[in-house]
Amino acid sequence: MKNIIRSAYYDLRHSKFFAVVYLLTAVMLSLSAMINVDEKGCGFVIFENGYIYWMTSAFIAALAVGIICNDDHIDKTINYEILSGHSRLSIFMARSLFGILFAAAAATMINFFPLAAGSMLKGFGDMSRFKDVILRQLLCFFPYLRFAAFVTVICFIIKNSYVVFAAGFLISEIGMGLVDFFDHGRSLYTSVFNIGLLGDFGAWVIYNLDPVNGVVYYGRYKSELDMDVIVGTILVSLIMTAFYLFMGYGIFRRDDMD
Amino acid sequence: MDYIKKYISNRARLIFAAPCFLGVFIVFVYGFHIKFLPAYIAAALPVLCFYAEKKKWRISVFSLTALLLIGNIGWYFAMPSEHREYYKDFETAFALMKEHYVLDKEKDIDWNKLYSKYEPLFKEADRLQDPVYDYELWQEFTGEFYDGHVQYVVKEEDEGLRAVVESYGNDYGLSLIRLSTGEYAAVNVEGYDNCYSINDEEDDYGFYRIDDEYHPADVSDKRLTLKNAGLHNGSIITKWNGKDITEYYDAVKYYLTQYPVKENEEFYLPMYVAGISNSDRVPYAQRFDKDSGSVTISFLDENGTEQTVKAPSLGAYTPRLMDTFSKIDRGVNITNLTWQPVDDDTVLLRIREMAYDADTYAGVDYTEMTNKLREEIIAYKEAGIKNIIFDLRANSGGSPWFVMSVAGLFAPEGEHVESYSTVIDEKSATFKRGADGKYTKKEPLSYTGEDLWHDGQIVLLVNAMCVSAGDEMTYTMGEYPNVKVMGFTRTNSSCQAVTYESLQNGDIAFSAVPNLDEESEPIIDTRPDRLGRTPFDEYIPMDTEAVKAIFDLGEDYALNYTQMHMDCL
Repeated sequence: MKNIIRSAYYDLRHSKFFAVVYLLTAVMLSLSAMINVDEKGCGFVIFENGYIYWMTSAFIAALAVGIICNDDHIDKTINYEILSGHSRLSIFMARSLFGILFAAAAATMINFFPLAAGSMLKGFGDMSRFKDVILRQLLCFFPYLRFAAFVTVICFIIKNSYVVFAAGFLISEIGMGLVDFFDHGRSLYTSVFNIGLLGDFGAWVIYNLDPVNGVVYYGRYKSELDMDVIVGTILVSLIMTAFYLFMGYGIFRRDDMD
Repeated sequence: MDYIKKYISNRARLIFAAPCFLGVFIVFVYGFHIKFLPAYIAAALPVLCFYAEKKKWRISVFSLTALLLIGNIGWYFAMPSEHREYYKDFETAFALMKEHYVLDKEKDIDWNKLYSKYEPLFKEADRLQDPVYDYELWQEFTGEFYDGHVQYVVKEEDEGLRAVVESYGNDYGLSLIRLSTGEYAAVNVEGYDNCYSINDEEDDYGFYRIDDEYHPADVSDKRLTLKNAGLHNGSIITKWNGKDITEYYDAVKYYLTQYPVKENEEFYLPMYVAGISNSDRVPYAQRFDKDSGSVTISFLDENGTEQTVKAPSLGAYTPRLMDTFSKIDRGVNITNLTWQPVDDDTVLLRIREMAYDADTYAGVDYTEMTNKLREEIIAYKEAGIKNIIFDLRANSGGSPWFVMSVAGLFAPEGEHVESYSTVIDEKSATFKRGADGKYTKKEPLSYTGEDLWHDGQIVLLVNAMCVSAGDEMTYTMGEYPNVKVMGFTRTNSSCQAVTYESLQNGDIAFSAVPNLDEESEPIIDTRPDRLGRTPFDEYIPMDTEAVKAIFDLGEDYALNYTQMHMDCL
């Protein structure tokens, strides 16, 4: 199992595709934060756009899982591993556990790029508390984990990286578009909407009338998270992750590799 | 070979995964609901078949899945409906308004008194889980602010529609109106041309979708009871169920909309009374009562003799009530900011809302609009037009810069201050008051007058549905020397900028940004005396002639009256 993880890690480390997409996404998110940041600081950008950044990053999780779990399907490495005596359980667990943990960590990390870029330009500001924003970003690890586990299941059914990338991209983008559309768009029950919930800051936002600039907005934000959201995010994500892995292995254990 | 045969093919095994994906998709689209818990478990169970090597186990799993799905039907009905957080909504809204409602001092709002009155009532609505009662309470609670900007809208469309339909009593085939003489007259009587009919197949509000559910089975036989008894639009009503109409006033606890000006409230009150059969009914006399048989209406016939008729309930009153409002208040039905010739000397400019387009709405630059209007005004002037009627009826408000831009074309030459914005504490996003209790003035919002219509007359045709920036235009232009303000009712008198908060079951809107005058007092909004504070020059009389024109002939009486009296201005 350790060797399989090592080989998966080796593949990933040498994946120029993943590196390029990861960097491009980081640059894109950072640029967006730098364009949007103003005197109110980066905390305000995260308040306004945080969930958009965080959902965009979910695609990175799908990308990582797709590469780790599916590239070896395409070049038949998995078949050789089976032939060389590795158990299917170890093959599955090595890839999926490493895949989802790496994917969730990579997606969580990328969210710090826009926060850093915006803060370097105009500071964090005092619209929200820095530690609350950090906590929210770190908690995104759990919905990413759940999302990555779901993508793992798709990987072991589809066995085609590109379809998995497309599915991951579509789910994260459609989820992002529907957060404000659905009443349940900010809830614990699906991973993307869980990210929406973490990006939902309580706020009092009001405007004033300015003779030159017209309507100008001011806000006071409640950035701390309620304990039930923190516990719920972790608990529901871990349960669903376990279920998806159980399902994924169920599919793989008797899978006809031909 | 035997080994291979033992296992089901990949494709066939996907069937085990399909319900799970379907379940995930359904939760994604419709959300998680405890009433469908067995179905969610049923969707997840087939995953066990991946591990069930023997056919009999797989059959057991699918049997259990089927049982859970069937069992969900019983579970669905056994589980209590999702608890609606009516009380929490009230608590949230109350706390927010207490902190941010900007007219509490000016309007003498006693927050403690309000809380002690409504807290137990909303708790009761929460216990009863009654959406209609919750709606009625919100209407009554918001009415305490006598502010057109304090409004509650039920979030769920169908539930909101039902609450509105059930909260304004029974339809006895007519509305009531108080004439300028002080008498009460029947209007919008069932069975007459141009009046509302229970047989109408459509309306602007969507009542037609559900109001059939409220009609009694024999409604067709009863429909023309009033007409057959000789009661018509304009008939003077002397008694309602044996009592004076004024005796029902106290039973009207809430309105469909706000009437901050007392005179306006008195104009509309009789229309609400027409839905009430018993003023003592609990909890609310205004609630639709499906068991209400009839009311006895006393009226004067053609000879001035008092007659009585037993008017049966034809269903819910709200559709007729809304139709009555619409016939009186709607204004000319043409596109915003378009002109309509009235006669050789007069044109009408319809302003339904203070908005030009989406691009300009939040900004200050209305140059494109004013350039266009300036050209049109000059063209009318050159064509010999002498009078302009601004139709501001049912104007829903909008941008103050729109108001200033239009007003500037007609204002006397020079600089004019419209109002002052208020100093905001950026950190707390609140408007603070000074030691004297007044808000602190910031920069003035001002505009330059061009006096393009110096030699002509202008009439602002308004009513109680002209609100917010509509109020502001009346406040601004009503002071110009060549402008006269007319209407059946005064403007709404609600002009602070508004915000809203989304609650679980509805949205609450309230005044949250003060607009100040020279003395740092919020402009326009009524004070505890509830007197209108926008200029108003002449009431258009609501007499039998007006009633007949509006409800029998379908005419725009207010406009015709204004046109006919233009020469006398």
